[in-house]
Amino acid sequence: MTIPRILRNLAAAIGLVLSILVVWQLIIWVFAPEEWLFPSPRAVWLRFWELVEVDALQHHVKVTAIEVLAGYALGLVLGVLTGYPISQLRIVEKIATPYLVAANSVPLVAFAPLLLLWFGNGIGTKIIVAGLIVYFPMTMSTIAGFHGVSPMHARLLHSMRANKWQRFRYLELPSAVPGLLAGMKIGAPLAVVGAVVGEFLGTGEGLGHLILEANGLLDTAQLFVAIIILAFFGIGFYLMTLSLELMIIGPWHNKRRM
Amino acid sequence: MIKVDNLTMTFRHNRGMMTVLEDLHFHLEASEFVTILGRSGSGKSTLLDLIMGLIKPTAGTIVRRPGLTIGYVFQKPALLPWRTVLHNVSLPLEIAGRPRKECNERAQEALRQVGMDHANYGYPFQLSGGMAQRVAIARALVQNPDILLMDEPFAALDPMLRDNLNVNLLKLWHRTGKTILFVTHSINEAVFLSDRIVILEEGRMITERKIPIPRPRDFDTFGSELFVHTVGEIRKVMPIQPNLPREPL
Ligand SMILES: Nc1ncnc2c1ncn2[C@@H]1O[C@H](COP(=O)(O)OP(=O)(O)O)[C@@H](O)[C@H]1O
Ligand SMILES: [Mg+2]
Repeated sequence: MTIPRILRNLAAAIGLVLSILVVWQLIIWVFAPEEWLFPSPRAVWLRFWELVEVDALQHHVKVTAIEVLAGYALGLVLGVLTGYPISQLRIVEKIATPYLVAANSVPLVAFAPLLLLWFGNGIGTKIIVAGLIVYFPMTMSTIAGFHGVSPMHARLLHSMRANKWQRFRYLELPSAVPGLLAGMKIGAPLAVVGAVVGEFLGTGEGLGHLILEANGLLDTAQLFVAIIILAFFGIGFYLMTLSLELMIIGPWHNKRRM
Repeated sequence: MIKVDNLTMTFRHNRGMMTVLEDLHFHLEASEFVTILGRSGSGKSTLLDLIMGLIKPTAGTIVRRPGLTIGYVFQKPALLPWRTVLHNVSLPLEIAGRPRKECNERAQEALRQVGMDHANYGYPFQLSGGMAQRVAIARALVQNPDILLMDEPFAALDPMLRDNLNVNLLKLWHRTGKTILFVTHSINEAVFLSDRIVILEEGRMITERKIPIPRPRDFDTFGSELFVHTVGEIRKVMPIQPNLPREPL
């Protein structure tokens, strides 16, 4: 991506945010809803500063950020560690795939209370919940990635007498990179979801906790603050993985195939 | 340089066996340009794989001169899309464990040999089919092998470009003195390039012909009477496709 394109995208993003604000304010003017039902941008903005000054919003943001990042890392590492061996053995794959799909189709919220029971209500449980939700798509993407090795290239490496390690380093790993990055991109917003679901189990910390608390008190402005911050989390995180992708495979990927 | 005797290759299929090459005898001398001519499915690629040592024969022997090195050019360029042109060419050296600097220098030299040294830092997606195949040839040359095996390297390219690349291939052959074993299903291409043509049909060697056209050969050769005559001669010994009628419909 070139600099002018980045600027153009940035301008588009800012424009979008501004138009959302305008529409929001218009709704307030036209319908004049009760503040506990639908707060104005101004009310949310004031509540934001109040939260920063009185309730140490920074602390909650930090806790959630740690859970998201640690859970994400955990899910990625475990996903690759199980996905790679599965992709290498047809039989293992045949046996494992249905279970992975089945496990993935049970909503994580269903597992969450169990995890709370097993691992207590510390930050570790939240990390595990975030990790699990990232883990499944990452495993599937890893398997798909390592299946992306072209037989033609395999034959080439064979003709060069590459050993197992060289085949991995020069062929299998680079072939799998687009798949691995796809998994990382899918996993990024899911890690945010996982961390918040984990916090819903209760502990008194994090943005998920702020949401629960606000819900109990009908403090809709606080609810909005937490939701907006979470949205930025997701976007920032996604953009991070996107730039990683551009950096690593940008020069050659998705161009004409050889 | 290479001597093949009683070579038979049988593949196991889900239903029974399939003999792809049967009792082949064949030899290749230093600095020769030999072409194996045969229609698709006649076992040409299998023969090259055997000579390269990628697969083991069911029966028979392949004797290579001790220390012989071989480079292999496939029908498709098979360039790795995530490596630059230069690093695609240096890959065989990297796999052989040569130091980085040597890899790059020799890759550059090999690219010069095929006239592609302007593309060093480009990526494969930027190359046309002909350019990509020249890079693939550079990759096969980079270890300075004694023999070059070429499996229908230009079959996917348009005929004009193909003639052009063949003229350049002969120049490269003269310049480097390499032994080339070429595979094609085009009679014209085989006659133009070779000292000797071996005709393969359903896994058997039917006949072998020396090509009397003097060298050096270039674009004018295609129009010469001797060329046209020789192509006709080869066509006569090519077997009629068994399941096609001899007479026009
Ligand atoms: N690994 C293999 N297993 C089974 N059959 C094969 C294998 N390789 C080639 N064959 C069969 O051998 C025959 C000759 O193939 P090939 O050597 O590729 O012919 P050509 O290169 O002349 O077109 C084909 O019928 C092909 O299906
Ligand atoms: Mg073939």
